[in-house]
Amino acid sequence: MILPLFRHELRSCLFPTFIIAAVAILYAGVIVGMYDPALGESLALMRDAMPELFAAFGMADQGTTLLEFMVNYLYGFLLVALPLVLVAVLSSRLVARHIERGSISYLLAQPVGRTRLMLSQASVLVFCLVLLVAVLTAFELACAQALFPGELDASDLVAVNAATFCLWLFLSGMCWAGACALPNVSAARWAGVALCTLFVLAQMLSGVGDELSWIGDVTPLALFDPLGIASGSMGALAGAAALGVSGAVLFALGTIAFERRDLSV
Amino acid sequence: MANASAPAICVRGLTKDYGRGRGVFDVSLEVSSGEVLGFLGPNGAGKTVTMRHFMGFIRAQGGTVEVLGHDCFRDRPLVQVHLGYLPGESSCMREMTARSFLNLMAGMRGLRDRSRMRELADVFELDLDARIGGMSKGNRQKVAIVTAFMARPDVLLLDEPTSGLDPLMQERFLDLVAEERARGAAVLLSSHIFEEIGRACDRVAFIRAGRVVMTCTMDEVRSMRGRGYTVEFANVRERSRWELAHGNEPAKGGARVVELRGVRDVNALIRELSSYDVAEVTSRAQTLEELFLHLYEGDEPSGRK
Repeated sequence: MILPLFRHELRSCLFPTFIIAAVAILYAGVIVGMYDPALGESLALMRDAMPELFAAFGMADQGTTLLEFMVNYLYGFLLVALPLVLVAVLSSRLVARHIERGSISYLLAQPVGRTRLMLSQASVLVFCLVLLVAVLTAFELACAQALFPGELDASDLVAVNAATFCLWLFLSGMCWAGACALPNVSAARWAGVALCTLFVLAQMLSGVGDELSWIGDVTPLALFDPLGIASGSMGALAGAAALGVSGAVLFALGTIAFERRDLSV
Repeated sequence: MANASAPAICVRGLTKDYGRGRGVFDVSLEVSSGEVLGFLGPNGAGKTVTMRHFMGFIRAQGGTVEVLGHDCFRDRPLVQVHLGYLPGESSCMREMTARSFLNLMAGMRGLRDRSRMRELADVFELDLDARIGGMSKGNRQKVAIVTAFMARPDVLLLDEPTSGLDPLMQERFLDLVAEERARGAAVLLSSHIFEEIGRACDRVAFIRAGRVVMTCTMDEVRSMRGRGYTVEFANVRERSRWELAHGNEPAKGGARVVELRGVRDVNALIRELSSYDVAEVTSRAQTLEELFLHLYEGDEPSGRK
């Protein structure tokens, strides 16, 4: 890590992280607040009226516990899409924007090496994601404790959020690899996020009907099974681990590509 | 320094082919410590591509590119410890103030002593607390100059360094280059400004269509420089006679003046003019621009290799 650069980049990345964290905890607060048996019945009525729409957003089943309720309404779509927006913004800001504006020439002119430079930039992105998951977990626990004391198993929530973090790492790795490796700045900025969006859309489509359910199974997002994590399923744990490892590998591949590529800046 | 006897900057047979004639081909250059090499050439001739190889931004397809004995692509961090770079495009981080940007660059370089940075900011009258994005092109260039020089590097790569600077700041910049040369730095200075090259450089290399077509010392350049003459004929008829004798169209309008560039044999000119009715002849030294103009226009080099 290059500390002066890390501090500078973190300052510029904290604002978008704060915005996404604020939106995420707002939704989390609303969803936890909605865990009310009476409201649950009206939600069930809405779900029965529009089963395909609810299924598309990963909200097919209300669940019986607060954690299951949260997983169904938060982790199926919102906590995938919102962090995807964040990692797209941050990977663009940390890599593509420097190349586009030419300021990368000043960073590369310092005696730090490209690998160290990119690892420092990547650590800013990962730090922001850690911050997001920590704030989200703390808020969910506090909110659940305030509204429904004793209803939420803290260790299960932490396990689910750790798995969610692994998914975010994978999404970040996709965006990072694109930003580092692709020579065209527009492609570098959008290729990773476009592919991830495709995965999310495929997941949504697979929830609509049985005949399309196979689509969801062929995207890497199928490895993310928060309910399985909460119930301690080994398969779900392995899936989350695979996502985390894949994310790390994508970060490494992106950094290696950046180390070797020509930079006409 | 890695190897005191070797040239500080050494390129041999550098080739990078981008296709359709673009790139650099078999470029060879050397710059010793305490020497300033001017790098001249038209737009797109390959000056910046060559600079990028020194910086390790791009990998050479052929040939070797070394700074202080280190391969510029493979040993980038080792090279950049000794290197100060001023890019052709002023691309500092615009959202930062000059002070925070320079502190960031110094911090990344591990430069603890910031006295030179403050000294250079004073020399160039740079407002360190101004935001770079709100600066004029000249002031942004000053930030780039301070960034390149503040670590007292052994090798300086300067791509169009005085772009946007006012004449006073250009003077101060040339003084700074002379100071660095006296300190022992090797400087490669790419420029379009002939006067700047003439004043700052010990040698000059001319690159065209990706090939170095001429390298010579400034003493050799001075000896190659002819004189320019302005001949005012007594009337238009005389000027037309002159034009026809030199295979040109006869003069149109009332102009009686002819500009002659790069005249080497003044006796031959006097003999020729004696057969014309001449009102006035004035002479001046040929500018570097005139000397190199034929290279810009694509003629074969008349200078020595």
